[in-house]
Amino acid sequence: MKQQHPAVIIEHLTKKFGDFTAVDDISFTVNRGEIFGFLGANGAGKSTTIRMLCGILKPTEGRGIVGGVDISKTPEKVKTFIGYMSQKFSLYDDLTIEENLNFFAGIYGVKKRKEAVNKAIESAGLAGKEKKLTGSLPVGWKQQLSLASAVMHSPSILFLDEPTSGVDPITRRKFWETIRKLAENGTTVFVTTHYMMEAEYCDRLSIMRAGKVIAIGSPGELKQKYKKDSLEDVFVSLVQKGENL
Amino acid sequence: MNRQRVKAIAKKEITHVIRDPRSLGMGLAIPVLLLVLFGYGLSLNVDNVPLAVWDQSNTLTSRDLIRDFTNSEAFQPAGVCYSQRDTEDIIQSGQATAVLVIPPDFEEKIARHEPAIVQLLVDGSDSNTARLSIMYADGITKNAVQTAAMSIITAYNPAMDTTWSIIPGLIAIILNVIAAMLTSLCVAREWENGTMEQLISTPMRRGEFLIGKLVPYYIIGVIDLIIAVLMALFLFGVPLNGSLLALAGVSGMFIFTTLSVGILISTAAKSQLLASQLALVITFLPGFILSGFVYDIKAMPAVVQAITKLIPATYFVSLLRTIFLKGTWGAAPTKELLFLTLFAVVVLAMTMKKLKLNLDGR
Repeated sequence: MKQQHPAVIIEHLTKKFGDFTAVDDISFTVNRGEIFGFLGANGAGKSTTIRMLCGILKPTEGRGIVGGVDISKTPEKVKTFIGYMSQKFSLYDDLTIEENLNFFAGIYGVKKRKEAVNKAIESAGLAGKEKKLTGSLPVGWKQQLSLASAVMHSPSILFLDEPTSGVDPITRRKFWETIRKLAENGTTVFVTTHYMMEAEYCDRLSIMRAGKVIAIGSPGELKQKYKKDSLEDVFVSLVQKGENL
Repeated sequence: MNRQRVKAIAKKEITHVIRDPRSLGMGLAIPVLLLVLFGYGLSLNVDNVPLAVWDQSNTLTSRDLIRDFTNSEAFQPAGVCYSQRDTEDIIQSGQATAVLVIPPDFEEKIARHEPAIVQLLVDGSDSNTARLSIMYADGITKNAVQTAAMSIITAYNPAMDTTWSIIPGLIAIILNVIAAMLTSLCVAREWENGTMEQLISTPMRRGEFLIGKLVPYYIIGVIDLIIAVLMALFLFGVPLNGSLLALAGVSGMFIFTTLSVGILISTAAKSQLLASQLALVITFLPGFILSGFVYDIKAMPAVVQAITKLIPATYFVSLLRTIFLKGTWGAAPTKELLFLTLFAVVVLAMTMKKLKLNLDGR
């Protein structure tokens, strides 16, 4: 990834599934090393956008440049330096924690694999549990494991699709500590969430509604612009405005 | 092609199989079970066919002949008839499947070295048993009565033991089904469990994915083959007249071809249930009916014969029989091997085309 590029550039990005337009002509930029929050009601098009940026869904129109690489032209190139954690848990239930991490370390061609896996287990707070079958883990641990395997190869851009849904507050806080640490080390983090408290942790946010980005800025800027005390009020007023149209 | 990546996928796949008793059972227990069931159950030998007798001659010679019949393993005595009506009734009632009719002038004709004709009435409703009964009866009669000096020598399977010809074919049919079933789940499972979404977000290539998936099941296929061959040799006593190398080479190629078919099905179906059912239908039916395993291909209509030539199992059935019983490679084995290779290449090319590492095809 070339240093002079912003992490993500989106221009008029559109995705249609038949007659339904899931993402409708959106444009914005995400800077390097930023924690970028992606807010929106269910079905607003957040996951579709993230999937396109990860190179696993083809845009219908528009352009997306991730780490200086065009997602439509060479999606396989994008996949080498991004990490992705999908909304639905998608590791192997019948493999142990260690086996899952080993597998993704192998897929990503991580060097000094054993060390990397041990480090990942350590930082995910799963030490002592590495031989446990993944299917038997509580949701919080599963999400920690998903994150650990998504950053196995030290990606420069990390896409997290609702990483903390269904997770208890303590695990959620730990999760965000990890995210912040990653960002401090230069990783760009692109994260979708439902929790307004989490939105406050983001450097910048965008709010999506019905496939369109209707607001973008830092938490402070958004509160100021819409004259609200909390992000929740900003979000509710923006989304409701749309429903009343 | 990244070797480390292929290794990671293969290792993961092996772990899946080991952790899942069902797939382990399908991979190793079912082939053994099928071989035992069909090996014993599908035997086309007839023995103890109930035989009634209408001895119009009632002489020493005729009674000798009857004894030859009832002493053979093929027939057992099932009654005596005294009229044409009797013979019809006894077959109608099912008490006897065959009736041996010896004419009144039997002994005289034998004494005069004239051709003596005995009649065998056979229940044709089970044509297979009927055909074999006739064959046996013919043999017994010719042995007993010197007038007919002609003898039939059956090549390659002198005892006409059908187990010998069934087992090699059966190995082919079982490997055909099991290999396709094994891989039929492996891609569909990734889609169904949602794990494919994580996989396609990695730099993994299609070729790496497919090879990583094929390797573990190839190993299982080869283990199945070894078990099946050992069972054929030591449990069923089928002789291996050909070379072990020929057997390994031909089978190795066939297993690869069928695994490819399974993986194509799995890639196209994307649901485990549909994939496994498709695999069963696509491999088992043609393999069983059209491969020449049960029915003679030469007796089929020309169109059907042409279709049999497109089925990998057809070549494998005939090659295995050739290697086991004839001990040669057959007339042109390279042609058959070439077909199997070509078939695998085409199927894998189709799989590559069908396998999309994105969510758009869903």
